[in-house]
Amino acid sequence: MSTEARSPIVVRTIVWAIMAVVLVIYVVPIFWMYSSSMRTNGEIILNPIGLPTRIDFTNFIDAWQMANMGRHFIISIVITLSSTLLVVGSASLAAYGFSRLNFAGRKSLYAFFLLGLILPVQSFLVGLFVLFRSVGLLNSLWAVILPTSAIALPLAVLLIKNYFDSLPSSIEESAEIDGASTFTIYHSIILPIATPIIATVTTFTIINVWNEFMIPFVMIQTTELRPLTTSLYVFSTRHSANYALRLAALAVIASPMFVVYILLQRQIQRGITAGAIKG
Amino acid sequence: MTRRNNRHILYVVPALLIYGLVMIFPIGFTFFFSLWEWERFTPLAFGTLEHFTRLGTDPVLGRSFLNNFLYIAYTIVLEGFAGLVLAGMARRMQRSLGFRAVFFAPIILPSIVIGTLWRQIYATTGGLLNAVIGIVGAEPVVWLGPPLTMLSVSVVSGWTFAGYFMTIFYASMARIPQSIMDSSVIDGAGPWRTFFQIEVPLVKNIVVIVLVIITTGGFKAFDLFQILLRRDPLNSGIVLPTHLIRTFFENQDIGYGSALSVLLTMVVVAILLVINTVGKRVTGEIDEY
Repeated sequence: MSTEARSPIVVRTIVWAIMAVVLVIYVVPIFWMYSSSMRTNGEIILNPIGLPTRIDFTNFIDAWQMANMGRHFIISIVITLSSTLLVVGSASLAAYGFSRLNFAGRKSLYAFFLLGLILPVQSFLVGLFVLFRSVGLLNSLWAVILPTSAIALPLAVLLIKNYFDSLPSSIEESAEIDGASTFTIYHSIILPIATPIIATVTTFTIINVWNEFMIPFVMIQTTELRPLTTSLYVFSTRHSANYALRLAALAVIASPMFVVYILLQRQIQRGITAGAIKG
Repeated sequence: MTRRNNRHILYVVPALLIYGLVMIFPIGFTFFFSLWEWERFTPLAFGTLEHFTRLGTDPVLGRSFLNNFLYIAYTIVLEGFAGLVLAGMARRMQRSLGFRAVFFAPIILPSIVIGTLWRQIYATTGGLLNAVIGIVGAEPVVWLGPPLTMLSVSVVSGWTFAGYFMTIFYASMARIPQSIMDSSVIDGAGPWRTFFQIEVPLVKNIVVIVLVIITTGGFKAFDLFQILLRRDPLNSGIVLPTHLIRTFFENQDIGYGSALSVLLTMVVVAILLVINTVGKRVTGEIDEY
């Protein structure tokens, strides 16, 4: 139940007008991206504000083919799925260990994990690059999967552990009396109850890894192995004079994100803001 | 809590391996590398402090710091304050859900889409912004060049993150009890006073968290600078993260690149420690309302 700030009608009207102006600032760039994608490059240069004169998908098809997007889509999907599986799998196991079990060094290891929440990516990027270079992992998908997973892990462990901590210990007591092993309790009792927090962790991991730019920018120089983000960077450098083609490529990438956002808006908002509200 | 059993440590081992080997171990590497002399990827001699003395004389580093501070100052206004005000206005609307959903949307887009789109909007030929100001007869402006570079990049940051911070502020303000809001109206406080003297102070701890995110985020920001400005030959928009990446990956200067990483890490951790100490004092007394 949310509270509200009751205000007189004059205030409401002014607020509504300002919000409408802000809305325009948000909608116009996106609208322009789609409308310009249906114009020719010459039309855009001549008059950037004009509207398309016809429904024309040529630029979208050209961008898809010339940027070899099908391939880079699949690479991004492989990277994102692998990272998400690694994060959700290992973080839920670790959170279970930290929250419900007891072993030597439990508290200090957990504190060691939380350290990762404050470390910037740049603190380990140089060392990791040289390390990957010496073991031959540079220019492989692992060079993106592993660091994106490692970055997501501290917050994932923290959120899932906090959730496990809130569950009463009576949950596993009867199973223990029946002689169930800790792993049985983890996967058939604790994990199924934790679905909401697992969904949150999955959401922010998928979005962060899918959108990641700096790590593949540094780690993958092989054209065929680039995920969508950095392949688009190279593509738009190569076609820097063809505005219509470039905007169409952006529209192709943005569209599925908008569809997913419209379908799963609440889940996505909860997932992305979870990091900030951790306290 | 079950009985102590040290075999249970196995549960945390997979996560510990990924996190330790990929994140913590390479940090040690980076610190270690900064004390070596290098010939591209070959370490030559250990025990030099030349990379750290170079930090004091690097003119590009001075420029990067200045730009970083400018960016943080701009984004505190364009992301944080804008988010706060948007949250306050959304609370004064009967139906704000649609507005809030749209303002939040940019953050789900990859930075490559946002950066490339805005690079096109700012462009001197075929750019939307110059065409729009041209309607009222204004001359075309070079948005992504001095002296506007940092402001233009910050505006894109604001466009991307203001809705995110709005969502965070809105969610925390929604927990303010209705009785407090009502009594403010009965006391005759106008919307302006109610917002800044009642609602904002009641979410002071969230304000501190948002300031932490924006300040440390300012020293980590790489994507938008790289995508909007590309090579940026004049260094008009160079910041610590782009300076670091250029030193390390384009000039392949591992020693100095590592020293810059160490510096960046120190700066971020120092800010967190300072704000954490000061922030606790600020938010300490208002945890319950």
